[in-house]
Amino acid sequence: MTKTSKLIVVIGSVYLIGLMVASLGFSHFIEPELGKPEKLLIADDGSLIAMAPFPPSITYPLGSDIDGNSYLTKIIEGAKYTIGLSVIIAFGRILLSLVGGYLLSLLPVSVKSMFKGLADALHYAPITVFTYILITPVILTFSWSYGTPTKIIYPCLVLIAVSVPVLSLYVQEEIDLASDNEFIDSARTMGAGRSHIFKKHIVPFLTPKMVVTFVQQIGQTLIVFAHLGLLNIFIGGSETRAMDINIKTGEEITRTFSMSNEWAGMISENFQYIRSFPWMVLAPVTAFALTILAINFIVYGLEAKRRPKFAKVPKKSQEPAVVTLDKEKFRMVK
Amino acid sequence: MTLSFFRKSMLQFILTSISIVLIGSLPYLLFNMKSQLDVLMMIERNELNNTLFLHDTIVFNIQEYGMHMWNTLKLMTSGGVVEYYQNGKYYSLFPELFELFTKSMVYLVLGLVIGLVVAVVSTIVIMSISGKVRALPKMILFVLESLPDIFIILIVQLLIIWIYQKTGLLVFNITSTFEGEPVLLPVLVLSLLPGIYVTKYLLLAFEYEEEQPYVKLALSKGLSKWRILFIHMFRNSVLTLFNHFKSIFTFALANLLMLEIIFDIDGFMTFLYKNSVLNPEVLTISLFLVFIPFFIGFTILKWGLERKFWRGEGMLD
Repeated sequence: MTKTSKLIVVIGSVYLIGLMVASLGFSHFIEPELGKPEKLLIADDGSLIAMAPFPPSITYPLGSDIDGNSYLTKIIEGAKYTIGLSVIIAFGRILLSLVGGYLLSLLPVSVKSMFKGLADALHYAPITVFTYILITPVILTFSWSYGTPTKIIYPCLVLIAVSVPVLSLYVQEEIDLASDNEFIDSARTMGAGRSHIFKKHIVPFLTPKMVVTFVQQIGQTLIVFAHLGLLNIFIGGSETRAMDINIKTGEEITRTFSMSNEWAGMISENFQYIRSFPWMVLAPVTAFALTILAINFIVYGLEAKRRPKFAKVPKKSQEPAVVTLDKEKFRMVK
Repeated sequence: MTLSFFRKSMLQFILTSISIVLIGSLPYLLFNMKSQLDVLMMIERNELNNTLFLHDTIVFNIQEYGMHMWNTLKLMTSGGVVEYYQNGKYYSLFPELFELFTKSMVYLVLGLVIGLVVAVVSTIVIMSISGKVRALPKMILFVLESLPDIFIILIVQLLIIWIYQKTGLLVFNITSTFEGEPVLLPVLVLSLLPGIYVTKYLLLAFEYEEEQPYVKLALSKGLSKWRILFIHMFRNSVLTLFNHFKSIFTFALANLLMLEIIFDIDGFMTFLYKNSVLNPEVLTISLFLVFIPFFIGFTILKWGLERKFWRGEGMLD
């Protein structure tokens, strides 16, 4: 069990770290030397084979976009933004909910149950909806009035804040669970102060659980990113360009572009092509799926390590131990 | 017991309602909604062409927040005509929202019920095979539950298009047309992920029960394996499942939103998606629309379970 769980954690981590390294390395070393993408695919005899976007093939393993850029390189390039942002957000969530959970654990039981009741409302609408409603005014609806720093920092703060209530309650429950242990009472009788007990007895209990929760939250954030991408919201700077002008009404037809190759941005950019060029959406969605799978691998492995399913009891030999008493073996200890 | 249960549920109801109102008005706390809406209306009426001179920041408008909550409450209690703003015009909210709500909830409830039934059947099938062979279905379950919902929805849709292209056989209607909206496929897709989650939790609960001494006792008394599985273990596992069911429900709601967008269905969640940014009161009202029936449903279910299994000795929590 431990061996497989270790292997699973290693597989997940290698995938994630490899992707991040490839992504950073790509934009530093490979991308500057890359030529302009080919829009047309021309055979040796000069006849036209295909026009971009190209479907998945050997040269373009995940297909290409309208300008002929391969999706594989786009996805590798975008990985650092998407994964990096979700790691930052997950970290912020854990940090804030640790503080929140600690503060909650100091409160009396009646107040705790009141907070629990209030947080129950989050069960009746998915977190994507809340995030969407709080982020959209800044990014889309009233986008004219907010500057770029606000457009990047504010959504991250919202993404952090939405999960804090539920996570804080979880942390508080874990703290309370740890405080129920007998050794806490013993420590208290021996004169340990509150901060000493927290540092020496509760933190070690909490740390492994928080590590698992942190990894889990990275996955949760990625799912919300993917959802928001479908709802036309993506972080990392979006830019609305006027594409065309409607002659009759004089209205501008605009399209939102992602400025980086961030995956959620790629989903929202290409969702209109889902019927004609499905790989354009499928490529980033698959990237999300694989990354989330890798993260769940890590979570699964860590959890399996934490609580072994059945503790293996070494089998005792069935034969009754023959005890021979030898007078010579007894010696006086001085 | 009945009285305390009732009081507890009532308290829960009130607390959740309070927090729905608090959440629904949040945009008024963080943005200058009124002035922003004015500007938006001016743009949409073509009275304003240049917005470069406008600047705003995130604010902390407690007064506006309170006012909006108060107004929303008044609006809901007085039962007046609620209107929402869309593309420069005001529309009446009510018959429309109800129609969309019933339509989407039919999808949701059907999906959940089918998912639940399939999950129970497949769990029992998995449980009936021996421990070592179980690793394979468990592995498949683990991979499936790790995949994000939009991936699964997209794959299913593209698969059906692919089958259609290859064989000319349209297994299901995949998108909204003049002839109507797809029903069967969305329901099946919607049942997929909750089904996987229910199977996972049920399987965990069953495997826990399997190790309990009462199962060994029952086996040694000569009760058949099926009888233990169906009656004793199932009964105990249902309790565990119920505790997880609320989060599965939330998850299914998120699925519903993605499904409505990908399948191009005009439903309750897409309505929420399109209109609740400009009209935060739509969010509050919609949340209540989801909350009230499902809360009542959950509470009745819980009450029934507690009466049947716990005989007043404890509380489910």
